[in-house]
Amino acid sequence: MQKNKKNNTSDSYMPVKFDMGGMPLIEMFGNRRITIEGSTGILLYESENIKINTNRMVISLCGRGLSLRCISNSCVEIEGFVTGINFLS
Amino acid sequence: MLLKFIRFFRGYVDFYASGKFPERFMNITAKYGINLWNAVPVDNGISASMYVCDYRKIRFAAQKARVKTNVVRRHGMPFIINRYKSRVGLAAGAVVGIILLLILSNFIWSIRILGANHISDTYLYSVLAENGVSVGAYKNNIDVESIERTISIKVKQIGWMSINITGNIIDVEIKEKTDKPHIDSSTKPCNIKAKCDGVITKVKASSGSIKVLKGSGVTKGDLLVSGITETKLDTIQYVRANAEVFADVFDKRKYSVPKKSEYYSLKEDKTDRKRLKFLWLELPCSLSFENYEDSVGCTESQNLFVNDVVLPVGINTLTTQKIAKEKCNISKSEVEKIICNDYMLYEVFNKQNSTTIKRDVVIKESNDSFDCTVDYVFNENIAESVDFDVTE
Repeated sequence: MQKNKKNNTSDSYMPVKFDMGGMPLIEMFGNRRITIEGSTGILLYESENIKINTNRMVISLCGRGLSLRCISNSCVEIEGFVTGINFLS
Repeated sequence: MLLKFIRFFRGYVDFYASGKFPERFMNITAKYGINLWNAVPVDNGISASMYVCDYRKIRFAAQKARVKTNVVRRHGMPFIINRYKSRVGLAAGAVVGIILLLILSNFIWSIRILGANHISDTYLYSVLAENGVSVGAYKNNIDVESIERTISIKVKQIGWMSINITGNIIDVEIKEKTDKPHIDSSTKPCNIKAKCDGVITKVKASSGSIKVLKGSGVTKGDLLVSGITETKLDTIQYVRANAEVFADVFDKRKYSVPKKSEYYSLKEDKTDRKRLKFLWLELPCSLSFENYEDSVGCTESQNLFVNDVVLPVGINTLTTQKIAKEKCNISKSEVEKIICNDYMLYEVFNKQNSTTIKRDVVIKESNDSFDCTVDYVFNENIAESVDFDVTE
């Protein structure tokens, strides 16, 4: 019983984990800035349309004056006036 | 701001990548951890910025993505250095300048003395130099408190002093002592006696009984005001007599001026020797080898002056002027002038508290000199306090 109690208490302090299954994490600041974690590459880069490849899908962003603010191996930050997001699989 | 600073120092380029797959180019650079910013899509390509060191590594990425890169603009320190690479002297000068500045900032450049009204500045500079405070002295060797204490003890006229080191300048602030007024604190009874012969003109007594009248003649040592007074009850009281007794005093001075005299006079020949001064260093900057048998010299110092600050750079000029002996015959009119100067000096410096009533000048000519006699009548205070014991 005591062992179980201990286990329960330790579980309660563990942070909640979600298995995303390789899904990208998208963070949006209104429609002006979007951060996508888990990107695997840029497929299209235009000022009105940006397509980002992820493990499971392709994220297509439409808008005006879109630009890549920062780009790294697995993260992309896009800035501009976003009018639409499409998930292409 | 910090990022801009870092980018400036590392150096970066704005470039334009055009070709088949500009997106692929971006992916490859991201994959290899190459930092890319300000990526803006343009016709058939992208325009972006990158560190110079990274730009040198992206040839393979460009080949893979089949794009051509062209540098549009270069920014940052590496390019500025590269631009002035051929001008080595400029960089060397800057480095030498910085080193000089660092070295010279450890030394004293100038000393200012503030508040010395009666004490000579030259004397104070010499006293400061004796204690290690001089132009060119190493700043960290100056023990301000100990020097302040030593100088305050040595120079009696200084009441308070403070040495403030501001950068390379020393400000010496001084407050001079005020002399104590002479107060007669003695309580012993005394008489007022005459210190020389004369005819009394005025008696101002604050205590004691007056023994002389106006117009009476007195000789040296005569009693003028007595310290023994009678009270209303016919008893004797001993007091400390205090009085000012003015009398016409006769004085006689004799001068002898030789008819022929020799004196040194300044000639027109002179030599200036200039020396360039920098901190404690002095370098000769003029060549003059003339030496005179008899000469007098004076030194003039000129320093560079910027914004009320005396810099340790200047020129010292030593002027040597030739002097020669000259013989001359003195006439009677010249003797009168010489005598006039002499008695004026005597009256100003020896009889400053006396009023000259009369002055008779008699000049007699002898074989080889002029004998002059000046008879004076001065009006002065002849009172002199002489203590006495009550047992007398």
